[in-house]
Amino acid sequence: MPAVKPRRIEDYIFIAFIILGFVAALVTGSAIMYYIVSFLTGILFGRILYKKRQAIKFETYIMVTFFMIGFVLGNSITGYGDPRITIFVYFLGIVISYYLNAKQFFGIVDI
Amino acid sequence: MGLATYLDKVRRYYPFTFLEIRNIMITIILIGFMYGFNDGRPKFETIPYFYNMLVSMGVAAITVLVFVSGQRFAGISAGYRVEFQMWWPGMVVALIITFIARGWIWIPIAGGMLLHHMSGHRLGFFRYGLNMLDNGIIASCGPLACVVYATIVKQIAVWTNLASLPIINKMYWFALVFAVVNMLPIPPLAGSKLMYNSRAPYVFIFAFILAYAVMAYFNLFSWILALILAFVLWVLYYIRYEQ
Repeated sequence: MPAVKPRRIEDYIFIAFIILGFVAALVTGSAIMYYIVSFLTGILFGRILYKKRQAIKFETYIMVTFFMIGFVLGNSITGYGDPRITIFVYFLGIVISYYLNAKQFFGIVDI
Repeated sequence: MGLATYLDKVRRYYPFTFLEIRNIMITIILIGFMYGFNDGRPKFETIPYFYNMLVSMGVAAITVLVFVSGQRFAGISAGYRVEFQMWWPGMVVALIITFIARGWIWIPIAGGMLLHHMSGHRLGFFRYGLNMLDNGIIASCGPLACVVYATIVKQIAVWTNLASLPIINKMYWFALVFAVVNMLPIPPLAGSKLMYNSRAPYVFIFAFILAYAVMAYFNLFSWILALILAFVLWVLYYIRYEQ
């Protein structure tokens, strides 16, 4: 019988990111702000994905996905904007950020 | 080092590279945007809003240049060339916080710096190579330069009876908040470089800047009192944690 793998703190990181996304959506005051925050978060996660591209972990995908889930859930309460546009803008931010990082637009030295 | 030698080094090593100019300009625009995002008016008015935004960017530009110059001048005197490094993730997080807080919270972070060892100019220095102490001291010269600049602005305003002008207050407070935030021990900000070298000097310098800013909030403008308070805090820290 295979040994049960002990639970680690990383296994629960999705809860933290759902809450983070949810709270961020709740306090954002309008549709425009909602899209801007979504885009900027995408930019941030794009950089994280690029930095970890050599040995990307499952937790990274969890982080990226569950933040968005929390964000959309929060938006369903506030009712600002269209969730489809938000998701599109979020992934657009990730793609743009990943591309700019790959082109070393943000500088060669990593700080 | 004589003055002529120092000035010659400044002339040769002070100018910024293209990448630095680009990064400094982006930093100024983003910090100015965060600072001017909420102009405090209950209703949006186009001309006053953009005027306030422009003034905020101007204030941010002067402060960032003072900060970077402080580090650069200190670096040159110790035989290093200082390179400004923008902290992209930090800047994006600061922007997100500004948007979420609708401009009521703004975090003016400058970024990091890199030291380039200039072999010829380091000849004769004790600890010839790159070291953490020089890194920390040079980094903390940025926030200290901001405090000096804020004091000069305030003092000149008091002498010329211009202290009540809103722009003077903007310049003064922005420089102080900028100095305090950049002394936080978060890599790659200036405070982290000093703290990684030694905690005791970090506590003294950070306590000085924080004490000066807090006292200024209560209309008490005194470097001497801030230094005394910083010394007391440093002693308390030493007795409690280092002894």
